[in-house]
Order: sequence, then C-alpha cells, then structure tokens
Amino acid sequence: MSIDQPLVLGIETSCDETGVGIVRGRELLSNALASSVELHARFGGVVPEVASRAHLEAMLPTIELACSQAGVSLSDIDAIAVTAGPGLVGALIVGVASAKALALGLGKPIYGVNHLAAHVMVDELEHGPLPEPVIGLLVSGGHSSLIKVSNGDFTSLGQTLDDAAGEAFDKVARLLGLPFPGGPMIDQAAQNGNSNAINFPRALRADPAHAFNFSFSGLKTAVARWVKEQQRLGNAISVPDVAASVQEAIADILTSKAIAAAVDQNAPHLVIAGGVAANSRLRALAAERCAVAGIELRIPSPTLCTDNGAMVAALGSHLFRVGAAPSPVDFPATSTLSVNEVLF
Amino acid sequence: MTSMRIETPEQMQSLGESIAAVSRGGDVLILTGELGAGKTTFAQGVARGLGITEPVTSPTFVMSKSYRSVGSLELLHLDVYRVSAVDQLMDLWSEIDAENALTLVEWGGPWVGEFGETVVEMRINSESEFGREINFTSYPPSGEAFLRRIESVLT
Repeated sequence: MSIDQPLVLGIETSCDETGVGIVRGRELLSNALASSVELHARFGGVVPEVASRAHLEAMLPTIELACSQAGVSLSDIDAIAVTAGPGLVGALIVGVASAKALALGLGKPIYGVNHLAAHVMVDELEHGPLPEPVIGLLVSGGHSSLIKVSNGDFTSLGQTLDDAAGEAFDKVARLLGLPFPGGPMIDQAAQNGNSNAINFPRALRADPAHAFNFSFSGLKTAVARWVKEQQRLGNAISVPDVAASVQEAIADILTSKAIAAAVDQNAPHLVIAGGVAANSRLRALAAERCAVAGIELRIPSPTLCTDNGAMVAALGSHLFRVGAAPSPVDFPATSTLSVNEVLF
Repeated sequence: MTSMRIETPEQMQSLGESIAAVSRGGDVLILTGELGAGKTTFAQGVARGLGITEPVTSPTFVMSKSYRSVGSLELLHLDVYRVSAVDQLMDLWSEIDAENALTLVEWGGPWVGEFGETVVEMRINSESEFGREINFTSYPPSGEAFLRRIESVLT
C-alpha cells in the first residue's frame, strides 16, 4: 500500500444522515448513507434525541454497506476519519465513539476532522486536486460560510449573522404554504415565475464591515410584509413570482459575495458545496458570474454536496497524505468547531 | 396583560435591551409571532443588553443555542417549532441549564406550562402594515413577578 494512495474510511453523523464513505487516495470507492429523514418527517424535522438513536442503530449496517460496496474489508483500511464538529453534539458523539472504537480495534490512526472543511475537500474526488488558494461557499440548512483554503490552511472569511441560506428557503416556503423541505419546492415553483417581479432586499450588500458575512433573517420579514400588503390591496399572489424573486435575491447575494471574496483574496477558484448547491438558479448565476470574472467554478455532484461520509474520508485522506499527525484518541465532539480547526 | 406598540426594528432592539436589564436567572420569555414578526431582531437586542458580542444566529437548525455574557446571566435561545410532543420537549429541556440564564423560546406557544416557573409570553402582532403591537401575558406560578419587572422598563 503506497502512502500517497491511502485507503481511508470516513464517518459523518453531524445531523440526520449517518454517512460512511471509503476513498483510496482521491478515488471514491463507496458512499453509504442511512438517513433518518423519514423518521424525522414523522416529527416534522430533526430532533436531536431521535437523531442520536437513529445514528446508533444505523452505524454498523452503514459501515458494512460501505465496505461491501467498496469491495474492501475493514482490515485493509489505513486510517479512519470522522466528523468531530460542528453539528448536534449528541449526534456527533455517536460517530466519534464509533470511529475511535474502529481505530483502536484495527490499530489504525484516526483523524477527527471539521465538517465544513470536509464539504470543500470532497470536490477533490470528482474534479482532482483542490487548487490553492480556493474559496469555498458552503450553503446548507445549518450553515452559510465563506472559507478560504490556502497552503492547506482553512480560514473563515465570513458567515451568516442570523439564518442560514437553506433555512431562508425553508422559512419562505413555510410563509408561502409550500411543503418541507423548502429549497427544492421554491426552486420548482420558481421555474414558472418572474425573478424580477419583486425586488427583495439583498442584506449587507454594501456594508464594508460585513463584506463576507450574510444575513437572511430580514428576507422572510420582507416576504411576509409583501404578502400582507398584496392581501390588503386584494391582489392575487403569484407563488411562482414570489419564489423566483426570493430565489434570485438569495442566489444574487451568495454569488456576488463569493466572487468578491475570490477577487479580494486573489483566489481564482470557487467551490460551492452544501445542500443549497443543488439550487438551479444558484448554479446558473454562479456559472455566469464566474465566467465573467475569470474564476473556475467547481460544484460537486448533489450526493457529495449534502452531508455524506465520503467527504470526511476525502479530508482524512488528504491529511494522511500530507503527513498530518493523527488526533489524540481522547479528542471530543465539538458542536461549535470553527473551520480554522480542520483537525483535532 | 400589558400592551405596547413598536414602530421600527431599532425600537424592537431597544425593547430587548431594556428587558435584558431587568431579567434574572430562570426567567423564560416565550416569543410568539409569525415569521418575519421581528423575533430575531428582538433577540439581538436582548443579547446586546446582556453584553453578548457574538452574533445571535438562528437556533432553528440545532433547536437550542447558549451564549455567555459579560455579566452573570447567560442567554439561552430555543426554537421548538419542530417539537411535536411533550416528551420531545422534555428531552430537550432536561439537557438545558436555564437556572442562570434568560431563556427566549420561539414557537413555544403550545408548551407555555413546560418551561419552569417564571414564564411570560410576548406576542408580536404583525398584522398591520407598519409597526408591531406587542402584548405580554404572565403565567403561573411566578410569571407575574417577571411581568412586573418588564412593565417597570416600558415607557
């Protein structure tokens, strides 16, 4: 086994997906996923206690599935990687404890890694070595962050000051009476809408103190106010127009800030990751604006954009290859881990 | 019941700051209002009043967030929108130490009786086009004491 092609098993349990992925070097071998989304749907969303129990039940079968899909046995594995944070602490603990047990049992090194950094690093599995410096825009139901990767160091450039981008989609969908999850529903409704129908606010667009931060809380207020005003005037509300206009506002602010970050940091590469990266308007607008700005745009496939184990394995493999010291076996699960801490 | 009117987001933040100044450990404020009513804006004002400098971000995804302040009082910020049964709420609440905190609960309306002893509900009515009408209601056994302290800072 060559040191530059390590076989790494990655475990991800930061929210409601139990993910186990296996990579060899930068090659994706398997990406097994057991989602408790259906279980949570019965409760109307992710409930921490339910998530922990579901991870516990799914862990061993998902590890076995990942090994069989990859055609490897656990004894072949060179290293274990696991999400140490950020996330729901009760959910993280299940993955961290399982990974430690595996590493101790197999006598292999363990890497306790950062969930946000893994979301960016997963792009290596599809598009080859990550060019540096590169800007990562991570947008999901729980996160909205701009990250810079340079010389192997991850730096947070900014994040949301209130709601995450995915949450803005969910809450606007709730306001419009669309079902959960809101992102795909808004995207779908927007296909038949006019994105210029309503000019919703782009918060912090021209605020130098928050050049790379986001704020989405005011957007739902603006939508609620607009809907009420139309009702007061007795006007019919076009859900497609509202959906398209809201989506345009979110895609506009995300892409303009990401590109501003790339220009500011002299990083002509942008990776967009996280569940919101599936949004069709965000992808189209990012492609359009990156082309104009001369920035290379990289977006992983949807299954690698949402939470998964392969991304954790990809980051673990990278750390193994660059000779990073493995984590001490007593490293904790940390719900508020900053992206600057890639590895425990 | 005590009522007042708020005309601007700045006034909503100031209200939060004022209430923070008279809050004590164990106090629970249930924030009731539609999406966009101004609950986040209010919570940001409370955080400022408690001397918390980090941004108060949405608790929706993780359901509960805690913030250390410069003073002795912490801020707990809960969003229980996704809680659909009282035992789920108890799972969440039992992991939380609210004794030394002012607790803000979003979407807590159906569970007002489950959050300890000193509970006041703040209803934000955003029906009108501009401004917000705000009503405070206290709950037994000790919510009225908290309501008195709130009334003392309302102009």
